[in-house]
Amino acid sequence: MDALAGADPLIAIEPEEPNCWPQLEPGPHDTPFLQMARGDLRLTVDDIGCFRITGGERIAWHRLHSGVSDQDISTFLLGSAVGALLIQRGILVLHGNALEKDGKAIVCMGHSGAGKSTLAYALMQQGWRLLADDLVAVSTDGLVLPGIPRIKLWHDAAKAFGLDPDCLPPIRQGMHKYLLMGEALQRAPQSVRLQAMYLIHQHRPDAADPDAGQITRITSQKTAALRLRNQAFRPRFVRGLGQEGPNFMALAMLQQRVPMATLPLPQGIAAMQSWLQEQDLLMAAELVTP
Amino acid sequence: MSEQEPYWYLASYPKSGNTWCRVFITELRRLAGFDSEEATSAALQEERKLRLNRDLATGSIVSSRHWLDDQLGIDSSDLSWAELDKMRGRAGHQRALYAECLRYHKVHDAFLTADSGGRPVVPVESCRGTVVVIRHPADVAVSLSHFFSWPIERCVAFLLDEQAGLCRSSKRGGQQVRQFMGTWANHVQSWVDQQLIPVLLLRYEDLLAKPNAEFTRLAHFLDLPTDEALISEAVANTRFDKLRAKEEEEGGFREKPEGCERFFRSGRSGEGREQLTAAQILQLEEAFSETLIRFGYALNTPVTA
Repeated sequence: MDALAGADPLIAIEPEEPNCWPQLEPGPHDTPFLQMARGDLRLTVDDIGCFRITGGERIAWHRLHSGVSDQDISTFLLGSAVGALLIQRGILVLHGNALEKDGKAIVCMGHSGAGKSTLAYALMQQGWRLLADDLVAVSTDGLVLPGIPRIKLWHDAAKAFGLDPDCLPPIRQGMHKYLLMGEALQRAPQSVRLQAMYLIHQHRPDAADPDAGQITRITSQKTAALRLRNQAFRPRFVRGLGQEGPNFMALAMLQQRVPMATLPLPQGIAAMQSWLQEQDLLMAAELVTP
Repeated sequence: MSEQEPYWYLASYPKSGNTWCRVFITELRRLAGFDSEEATSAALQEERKLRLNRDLATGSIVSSRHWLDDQLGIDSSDLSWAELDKMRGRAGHQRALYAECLRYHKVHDAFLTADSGGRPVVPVESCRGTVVVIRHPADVAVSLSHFFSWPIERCVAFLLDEQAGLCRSSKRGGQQVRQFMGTWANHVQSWVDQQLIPVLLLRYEDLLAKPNAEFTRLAHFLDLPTDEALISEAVANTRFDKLRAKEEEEGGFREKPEGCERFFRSGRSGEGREQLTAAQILQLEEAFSETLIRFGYALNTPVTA
């Protein structure tokens, strides 16, 4: 939670009955699961819990029935609720992971299922240290703040890395997705300057574009801006919480300072690992031009 | 709830002509001046990738994790398939976050699943209706075998499998969530017999045999222009040979992965009868006789050569 500590160490995380939460006017970005107003976000995860995040400083949570475990609650609390809290603080939150090497950081972004955590673990096998996984907080001066020290790997990915899924704690009971934390991770404990941003896409060997298998810098400012905007952590939260303005400014600054490139990950973990060994991710985004 | 836009479903068992319809719609909209050239080529690009990736969020498929995560406000991969199926039908249809074309949602899920608690697994609130595209299961088997690189036998078993689904594994991630289908007949009936949203039933075979008339029905159902000249042009531009040429031109797939070939492969009907064994045809016809007869498919186990 160091990312939070940087701005203000005081965060309250407390159980609370939702019936004491004031009604919110329906907002234009609400969904049946989310209600949002400036400084106030309500999230309901059916049959699991309700969360209220307010003022960038408080997370209230409620267990929907006695069968819901602490782990169930913390799964959503440490993901969406903490993300909402950071957004309320005006912090830029990217959807990806951040890794550190030689005192410099890279961020790898991609939509759900793109293989972000698998990539993060593969990089850790090659000497990178984890800064943050899933949500990456970036300060206005271009530092990546250390996030929650954990990473989630699916059963098949864990096995492909030679880990025994049976010896790993599942993210929630009965699920075949596992948590790696503590000694299982090499983590970077301090904020690190961001050197490069990558957009993950699965590279298919029959793609026609000859550049498709190479790291390709995104040089068009417009393309970079659109791509980066699409990689924000939960853009709906940003809009619903009225943080689009500050977020836009933060994205624009970041885009000016830090090169962005596409990362064409080969399919399959072994292929990915050997391909990554040939890349210099601290430099590649800057050097390679389309 | 925020601003609602009209939306429809394009529901089908996989490999039944869903993509063809979607490309037609995109082309018709382009010809009518609704969409730009870029939108059309972006849609084609998506389809091309879909074929290659087999697990791509097209931006408009209802099983897209990206879309669900946005609606639910959480990482949907932190939920089990059963938990997710209960919630999916309540995801809203708010204006797409950015400029994605989300009006015509491709769906391969059956309308209901064992886990959806008797409710549709897809949202139906303010939905204007669903196009249901069906195709003879023997032809689906052949197309599936090319798509998945499976032997025909396995595809026949898949069509008959009461638990069949796409992206079923709970042990790996992906850009789409599980889509339960059940048997071919279960899938078709689940959509055609539901009473919650209007249905336009199209048979792949009819789209091939009388494209202008059938695509006019499609356009009418979707509130798109039905002007004869426009329909003719859109039909001509999205004929199979055109799509195949386009795929070739954009892809040039020289190093094909694992025997996977082109998406727009043959488009013909009747391949099932040529390539399935008499026993396989009989298996399908026996299991699905009621549904086949109901939708005008003659039962005629071919004479073995």
